[in-house]
Amino acid sequence: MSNAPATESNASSSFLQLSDLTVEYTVEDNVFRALDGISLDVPRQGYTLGIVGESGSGKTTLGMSIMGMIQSPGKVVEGSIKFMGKDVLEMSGREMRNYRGPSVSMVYQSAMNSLNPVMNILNHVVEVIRDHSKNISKSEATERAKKLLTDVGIPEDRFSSYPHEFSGGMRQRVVIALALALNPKLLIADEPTSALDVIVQQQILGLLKKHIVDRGLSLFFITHEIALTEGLVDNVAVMFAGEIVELGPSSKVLFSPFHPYSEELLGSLLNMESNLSTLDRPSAQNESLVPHDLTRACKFSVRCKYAFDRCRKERPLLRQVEKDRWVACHKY
Amino acid sequence: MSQILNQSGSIDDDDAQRSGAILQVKNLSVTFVRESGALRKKRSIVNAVNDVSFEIRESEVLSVVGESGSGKTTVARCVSALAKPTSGSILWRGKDVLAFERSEMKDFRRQVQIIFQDPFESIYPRQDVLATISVPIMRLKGEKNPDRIREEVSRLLVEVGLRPDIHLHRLPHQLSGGERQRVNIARALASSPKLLVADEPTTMLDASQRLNVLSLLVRLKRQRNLTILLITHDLASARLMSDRTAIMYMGKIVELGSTSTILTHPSHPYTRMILDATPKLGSAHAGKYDLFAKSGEARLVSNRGCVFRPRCSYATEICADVEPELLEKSRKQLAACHNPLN
Repeated sequence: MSNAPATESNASSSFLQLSDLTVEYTVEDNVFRALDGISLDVPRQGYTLGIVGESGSGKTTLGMSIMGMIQSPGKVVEGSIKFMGKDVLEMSGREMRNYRGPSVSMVYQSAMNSLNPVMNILNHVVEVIRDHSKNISKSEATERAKKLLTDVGIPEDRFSSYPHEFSGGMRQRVVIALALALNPKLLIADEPTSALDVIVQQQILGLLKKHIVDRGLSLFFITHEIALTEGLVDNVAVMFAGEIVELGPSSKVLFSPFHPYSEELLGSLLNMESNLSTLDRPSAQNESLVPHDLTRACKFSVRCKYAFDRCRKERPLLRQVEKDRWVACHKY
Repeated sequence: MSQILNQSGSIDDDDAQRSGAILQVKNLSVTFVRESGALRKKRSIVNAVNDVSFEIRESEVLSVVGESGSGKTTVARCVSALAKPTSGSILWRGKDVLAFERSEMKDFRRQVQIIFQDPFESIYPRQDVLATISVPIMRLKGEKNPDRIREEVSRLLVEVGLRPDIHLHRLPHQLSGGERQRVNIARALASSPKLLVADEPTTMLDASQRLNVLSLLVRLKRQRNLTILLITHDLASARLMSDRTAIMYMGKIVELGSTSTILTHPSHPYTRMILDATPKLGSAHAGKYDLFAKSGEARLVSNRGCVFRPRCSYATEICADVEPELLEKSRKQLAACHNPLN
């Protein structure tokens, strides 16, 4: 793939390699292309990536594809996902079982509402551990589960509590403990903190950071709160309408974005420095205008203030414009 | 103790008269009974809101900021008469809302409207936009002429930044989150309210739509001379929108005063804590997380003392014994703390 961003080495030994990944959802006769030719090369374990973009841009679908969990009416219509050389889409049931959990695991959006209400939280974790390793004794599994829960900051006297007895933040920690239970090499965290208040959010991010630093966890952090990616992940991918439109080190993309959409996204950040003049913007302009059906033009051209003729005729591909930066825009 | 209470109470009253409070909340408490155990035999009392007093002044924006479970939504529901206080009172222009006659209550409902947090669940899924916004026009304004209703709905849609030709007959599932929240706002404005209670209007929205909805509220406030009670967990929205801010923690107001004063010189350690935790691009704090910050789970063992004590790094002996009153710390700031900062 000429446009597959690879930072180091050749592709065959990559940790994770997505080439031309295209996913479509078909409802009745309408085809919705959620991912449109995503190519991404993660050279090594330990790589951390923030995936940002508005709702509907394909962030979650990307995570679900890597997990091999695209289900009808969704379908991977093109491309491949290779994890350490193995094609995820071709895996047998047994291979998939060793892939999900021990290799790659995911913290699903609002997963905190999907814990089993009649099982206490310690048994949740014990079950995951024992299901995946036949020769571990129950007491060993319990010990490991206790350590995992302690690590995510749950006090010992709460281990036998049931999900409804916990606050949202505590349940989210349990879900993270479950995702980390089998020591995955890659963790995909889909908006793990969006329902939580700022202090709990800090604790959860701190926990993820600890796993990155301590044991070289690779993290894909999906969020629409761009500010959270700073300091947590090394790289940022900006998604728009099913495509990666910009990719590069977070220290650069967040402060001097190349793509006009990245610029818009960063401009809409609400922070303690925003003021009312930045708030006086035209209302409802193109808020939901994400043209998934334009086949030729740059999808962002309808919203782009820099758009010129070529943008309406030819789709820009993601290409390298600096040593470690890729952008899909005719401006560069 | 009673002297302190009277004193702070009288400060409130003076202020209220001076500034023209349209709504006063006095010693509001709401308790819920929680049943637990297999046969629901264990009962415990949850103090969702605990002796809260404040007022909303004419044409101001007042923010109530707090984490989940701090009682801010319960306050909003009491203020809009959707929940009954266990004790205390709500005064609308000096009259007790709980003692309202039927006709007075109808008038109150016309003047006080609420926007709910979740735009996906607060609109009936099988009614189109026209039908949704028609309801308050018919019920609260008594308008029956279908043409005039339609005209009024169209006017409201334009006001909130939607297009009648596109959106009038859309069903909720055909709208984006931001568009739904605009429909919610239009529905709330339909009865020409004086006070708008906005319960986390932007939490469920994307960053870009969030800013658009806040900007819409700012514009509406100016154009319609609205008074807004903004419930939020986001200090950045409070800072942008509001004249005054109340910080709530576990059912108590711990700090109250001018927004700019509170955010630049917080007096309560909890305010300082959430200020520090608010994400900000390019800050020196990025990536440095306080793993040891004690979370909201640190519940109190006894009912005495300060509610924030288990998480507070400034706590002293007195904090364990005596509950701090909400007292004036400076001209523009009240705080409930024995060891205030600054």
